Order: sequence, then structure tokens, then C-alpha cells
Amino acid sequence: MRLTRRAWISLLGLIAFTAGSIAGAVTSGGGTIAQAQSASPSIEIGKAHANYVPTLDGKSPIFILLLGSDARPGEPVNGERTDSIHILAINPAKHRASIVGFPRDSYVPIPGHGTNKINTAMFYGGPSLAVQTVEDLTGIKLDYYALTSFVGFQGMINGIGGLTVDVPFSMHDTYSRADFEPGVQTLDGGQALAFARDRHSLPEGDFGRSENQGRLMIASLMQFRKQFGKDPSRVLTWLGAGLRNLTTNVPLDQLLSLAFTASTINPKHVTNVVLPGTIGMAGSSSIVNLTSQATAIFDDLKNDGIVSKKNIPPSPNASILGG
Amino acid sequence: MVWIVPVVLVALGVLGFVLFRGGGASLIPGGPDNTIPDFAFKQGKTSAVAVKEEKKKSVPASAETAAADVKTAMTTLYTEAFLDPANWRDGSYDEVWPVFFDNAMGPAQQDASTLTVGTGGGNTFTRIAQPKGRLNVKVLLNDKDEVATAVAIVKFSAVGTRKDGKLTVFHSTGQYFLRPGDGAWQVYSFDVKRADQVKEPKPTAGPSGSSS
Repeated sequence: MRLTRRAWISLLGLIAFTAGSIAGAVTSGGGTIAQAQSASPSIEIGKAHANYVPTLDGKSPIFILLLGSDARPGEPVNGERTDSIHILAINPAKHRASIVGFPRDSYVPIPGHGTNKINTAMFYGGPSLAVQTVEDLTGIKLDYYALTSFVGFQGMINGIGGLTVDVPFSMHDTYSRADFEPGVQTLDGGQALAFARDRHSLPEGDFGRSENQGRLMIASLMQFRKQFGKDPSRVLTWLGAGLRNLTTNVPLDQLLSLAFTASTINPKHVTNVVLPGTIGMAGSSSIVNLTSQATAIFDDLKNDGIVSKKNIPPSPNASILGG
Repeated sequence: MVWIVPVVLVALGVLGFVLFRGGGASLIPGGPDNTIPDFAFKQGKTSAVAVKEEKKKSVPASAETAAADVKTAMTTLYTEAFLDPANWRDGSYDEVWPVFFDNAMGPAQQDASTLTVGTGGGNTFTRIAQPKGRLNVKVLLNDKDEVATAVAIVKFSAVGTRKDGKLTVFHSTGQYFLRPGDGAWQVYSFDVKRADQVKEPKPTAGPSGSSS
């Protein structure tokens, strides 16, 4: 069939119109459809997660002296003895940490006060003397300290809604009011304090208690990470609970950075040790003489904030652990 | 005069293109005319954690002011990341990044595909509209009751009209940590999830208005 010139022209025009219309419809995808929600089933795509946590990233470890004063309600926190003394060492680059507990009766030089039990440094000169005492003893420059009391400790635990702890063995002690059977349980502030104070149910007394205090810190880390993973804004609740109940020289922004850093540390990568020592006497007082292994731990810790396996002493609670 | 026939038909073709593209949507916000859809996050709850006292009777004014500033920052962020056609068409989000502090800017840029429409927006969408967003703000008050830091907890959605005729519903939920920066609140940490959905459009009236 032969088309006339007019027919060709009309056909070309029709093609142009149709092509233009189709192009418009295709590129818009919207000429003949509703822009509103569809009733048809939807397919989920593009699931993605963007996350950035400003952790500390320096290679140098951070050392914090954690002090628990035995001040009772109404007593000043500063002028009392510290029956809980730990160095918390954090290695941000390696996402590891160490908790090193000091027996409260460790007989050490107190600057300006001769040789005495380490827990008296706080009594003589407040946190600054406690820091100086530990620095001189260990050769480690402490970056910060944090001090709490019985009331403060309970307030912190209650402030985070209780603490879930895997109690490793039976603990029944009328002095501290510890009354626990082994197993995972959530402790309120009073129960956590009892857990932290109990030394009478433990074979090595204060040594085992110091380890248990480290155990609470690891339980805190575990709980914090869990909550932070689900709801990062929970960090504010933790910081609020901490700062309301602590005396510390950690600036707020640094505390936030430390909390972010903590969120990257697996509790399995936290070493909890108590300095080994032998029981002795100084006059009529029972004291602890730290052994040379304690010095080895200090030297080890100083480098990177990590206690090497070879320097980890046996648990003071070893005889009742797992039994 | 026969030449007039193809001219008229071609003109009709052009008219058809214009009519059918976006269903005559060229004046719709987020459409081809680069109009940015109106959007602002709905302010939800503002809560404060204080370091002085455990429970405050009411949220202090400093927290409310901070929450308003955070809302402004978040509205800017999501407008530039999802709604400004000049950004998503080119896959260039230069206006987004200043909302982040220097420390977080690089990581945010690396996560651009999650935090924004992404680089392929211009090839995929003809327009993005119907933004909805709700924001709760939690603040930490220092010992002077000043806001030390704030967390914006956001839920955002918008609908992208795709060139293949389908719709993409953008869903972005997450948390942004902010503190006052250079003249505005800026983000220094974030945790954001995207779970977009593709939907078949519901057939409705064509351009003539007739129902199908």
C-alpha cells in the first residue's frame, strides 16, 4: 500500500504525539496513578544502619581511680576512709579494660603521713592525697578519680533502674545484709551495696570483696552496653545517675566520651584482678603487704592499661567459684 | 499549507508530554520545578536528666529552648537530605554536612546512602513529597541547669515517586546527639536506621479525572 504525502505526515505527527505522551507518563510514573498511600502490599527495601559513636581513640590508656568511701549517711564523703579502691584502666584503641583492686589494708607510703593503710590516704588528705598515694605506689599517672559513698552507690544503682548481676556463689552475711543464692538476678541499690560490702561470706575476706566490686563494674558495663545498643539516649540516664552520686574531676564532655568508649568494650575483654598480698601486722593492726607480683601488675598496666595473662593472679574467690 | 498538520501534531505531542509528566505535577512541591516541600518536625516530648537532683518538677526553660534549636537543626538536616530536589537530583548534599560537627562529618558522609536519599535519586525519582516527622528531645542538664547535650529521637517518612511508576516510602528512625556549635546545634554522634518500602501505586483517576 502506498501512503500519500499527507498520510505520512499525519502518521509521523501521531507517532510524535504518542511518543511524547508515553515519555511523559514513563518518566513521571505518576500521570495515571495516585500519589497517596497504596493499599497493596509493600516490599521492604534499603534496610540500612548508620552509626557513629565518638569514642576516645588515643593509643594511651586512660587511668581512673575509683574510690568508695565508707561514709555513712550524713557523714562527709571526703574525710572518711576508702574501703573500696580500684584503678580502672581503659585502652580505647584495643577496646579493652582492666580493673585492679587494692586490698584496703595495703600497707603503703602515704605522702606526708609515713606508712599506713592505703585507705587512710583519703582520711588524711581527701581524693587528691588518695590519688597521689596510688600514683606514687604504682608509678601510674592517674587521669581522673571518682568517689562515691554508701548512699551515693545505692543512688547510682537505683538511678539506672537496678543492676543485673550473675551472683557466682551463695552469700549470706548479717553485717552487710548480703543474702544471695547464685544466679542471675537484678539487684536494687541496697542489695548491690550489700553484695559490694560482704566480706564475711568470702574465704579471702576483703580480697574477695574487692573482686566482687569489680564484678559489679563488669555487670554495669554489660547492662550499659545492652541498654545503649537498644536506646543510645539511655547514656544520659546513666550519666545523670552517676554525676548525682559521685564526686569526680572528669569533665562532663569527657565523661560522655568515656561512656561512648565503654559502649565499644566487650565485658569479656575486661580483666578483673585484686592485687596479691600477704597478711601481716603493724603494731596492733592487721595489714596487707603487697607482693612483688603487685609491682609486676603495675609495670604491666602502665604500658597499655592491660594486665597480661601471665600477671593475672588467682581469684581470691577461687575456692568457692563454680562450687 | 499541508505542513501545518505535522507542526500541530508535534505541538500536541509536546503538550502530551507536559500533561502526562508527573500528572501535571510540575507545580507540586518536590516536583520537577525544584520546589522544596514544606516540612518541619512535630515537636513531641522534651525530657531532662539533671545531675543536681533526680526528678525535676518541670522541664526547665533551658531544655525547652534547646529542644526548639534541636528541632530546627533536625528539620534542616532532613529537608536537605530528603526533600530538596536540588540535592537529591544531583546526589549532592553539601547543605547536609554542616549540620554535623567536624568529628562526625566524615562518618556521616560515608553513611550518606543511609542518611540521605542517596546518589541515585535523580535517576530513580521524579519527586519526593508528603514528608512527616516527629521528634522527641532528651537533654542532660549540668550542675548549673544548662543543657550540656541533647538527643533528638526522630521518626521521619516521605514518599518518593519513582520513574518506574512505583512509590518508595522513605522511613528513617534514629537518634542524633547534638550540642551547641557555631551558631546552631550540631550533631556529634548518630544512630540511624532506614527501612524504605516500595509500594505499587493505587490506581485512581487519570489526567481526565475519570476513575478506573
